[in-house]
Amino acid sequence: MNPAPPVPARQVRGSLTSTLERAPKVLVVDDDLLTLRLLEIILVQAGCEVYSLADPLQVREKFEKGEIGPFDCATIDYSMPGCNGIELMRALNAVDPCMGAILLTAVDERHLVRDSFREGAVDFIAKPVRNQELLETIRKALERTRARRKRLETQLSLKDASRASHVFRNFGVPELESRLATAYVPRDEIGGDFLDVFRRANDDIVCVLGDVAGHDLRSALLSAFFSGFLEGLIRQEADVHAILRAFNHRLNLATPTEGILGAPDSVAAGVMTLDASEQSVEIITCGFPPPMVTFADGRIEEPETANAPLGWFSDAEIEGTRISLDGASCLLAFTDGLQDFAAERNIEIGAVAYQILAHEQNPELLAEIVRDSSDDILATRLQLQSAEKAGHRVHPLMKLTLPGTDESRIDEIESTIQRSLELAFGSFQRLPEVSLCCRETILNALRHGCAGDSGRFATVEVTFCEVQSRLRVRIEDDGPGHDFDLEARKEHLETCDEHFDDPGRHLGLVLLERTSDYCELQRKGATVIFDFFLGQDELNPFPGAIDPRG
Amino acid sequence: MDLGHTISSHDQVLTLLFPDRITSTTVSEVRESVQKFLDSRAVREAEPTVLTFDFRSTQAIDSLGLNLIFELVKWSDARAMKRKALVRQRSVHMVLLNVRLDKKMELVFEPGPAVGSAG
Repeated sequence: MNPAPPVPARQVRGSLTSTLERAPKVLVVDDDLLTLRLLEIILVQAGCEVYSLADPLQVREKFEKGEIGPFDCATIDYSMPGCNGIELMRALNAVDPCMGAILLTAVDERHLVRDSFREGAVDFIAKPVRNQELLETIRKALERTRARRKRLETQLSLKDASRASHVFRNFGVPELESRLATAYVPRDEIGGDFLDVFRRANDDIVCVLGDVAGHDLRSALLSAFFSGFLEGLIRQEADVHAILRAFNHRLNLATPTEGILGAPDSVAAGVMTLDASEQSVEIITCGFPPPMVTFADGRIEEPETANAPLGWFSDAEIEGTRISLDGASCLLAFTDGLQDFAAERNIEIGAVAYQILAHEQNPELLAEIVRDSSDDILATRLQLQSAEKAGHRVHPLMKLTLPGTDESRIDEIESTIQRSLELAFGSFQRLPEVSLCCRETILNALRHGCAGDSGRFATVEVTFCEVQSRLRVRIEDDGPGHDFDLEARKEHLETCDEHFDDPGRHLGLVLLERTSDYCELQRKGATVIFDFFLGQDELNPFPGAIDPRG
Repeated sequence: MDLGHTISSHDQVLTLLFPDRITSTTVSEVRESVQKFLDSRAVREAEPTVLTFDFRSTQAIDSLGLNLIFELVKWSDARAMKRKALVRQRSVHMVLLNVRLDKKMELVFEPGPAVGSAG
């Protein structure tokens, strides 16, 4: 069958032109040439610019190649050879999801096309076509197309605005670029997470992470307002505590009569001020997860003080914690989206952060790694000492605080450690050895150091130094340590088979000494530090999406 | 826990099958299973000369698991038995080497995926 030649475009004002400011462009597809001509005449008279073809496969090919279209609406016959109306509509909507479509059916075909509503058709019309019904249905389709296009345009502009607002704003601190890694995965087109970095006149560096409640334009505007407020006052050399107090006051003024739950505006923020000499960092958190600061000896410190989110209490004091640094100190800060994501999957925050920061330049991969997150995710790692001062940057992977009664949970704890390390590095060959050493040392700390007491605690800190490929585990309890000479014992264990004669004595220590690459006992064994050096080829493989399990 | 230990009357080999984990949380059950088997009439009557530790399903052994193995080394020493261990996991092999068990038994290390977990 020969395709009907396109009807030349004609500008004719009619009832349908009021829907758009120009003549609507309508695609008509029908293998019945008589119907095709009839539709052309009706639509042209109604002021439409019509493109008509009798061969659905040809329409599909031309549309997919961009040789025809875009159209404001399509009128498609259901029953056509080679490609029925629903199939054609699906193909056209794959290219232009906003375009409304109308299916023309014989009366007895209606049940066949009911599903087309789910495919995006506006309506269907039974043949023989009546003028008024056709024009009314087309008017609806045009309106729907226009509404969809408008919505898409708004979404795209929101996305652009959001992208622009979340670009790392390294105001006047370009030299930080090599020391700063930031990964941001928004859940929606727009949200309230942000990161700003400023340098003061005295060379102090102020790093601000913020998280405004909500994922809408309102939260984005408040986020931008807060960001501008901060920048203006920091440039005026105002004290950070005073700035936060002032903003808190401002938020409370905005909603003076509403309680906490009713207050629409609240901001969670973490403000880290690194002094110019890079000897210490002050951390202020307001309803914000505690950032982690690492040290060369494997410690991970978190700020001791925490403040309520800004906007909750009008008279809130703002307190911070100052932490002294060593040559390897790194700061990891993140919004609660990462915290929730890790908790839901029973993995440690630092390990997730390590993996996403390794892929900070690849937004698609980042989005895949934290697929199904219920919130925006923002994480940033700042090397706290400049290159000439810094030894080896140390990334925090996990910090666990375990009560002395947790021995019964040892399998679960070991599994969390394994899963977290697997996430950070992939399934590396020495993982079972690391896992075994962690298990042995944790059991020793819970049993002997904490004596199984719920009021005593063991901490497990795991860090990774990329330059050395060194995985460092530090396990500490608040017990008195061993009552025997550890050094003499270690020397003795190297040379004898004591455990064959006396099973159970210090086997954990033997395993630790001989399995790890470096092992150090402090405070009579109440603090145990051990290292594993991982092969470079084992680092940063893409782990795939992190499934919710655990 | 029935781990499926065997004894061969033909060549006097006693084979103990171990599960995927021999750790603080599983060792009592494993010990009970082994003890029951060693106390059985079949073992007493067979007078085995070789003890085989089948660790081919085993993925993790901790210090409490090792204690059980040491006890079995002593048990077999008392009966002048030879010992042999079958291992597939590198990490398990490393643990056995690290506590010098290679001096106490023939370690047969054939790397590969763990066979179906016993028990």
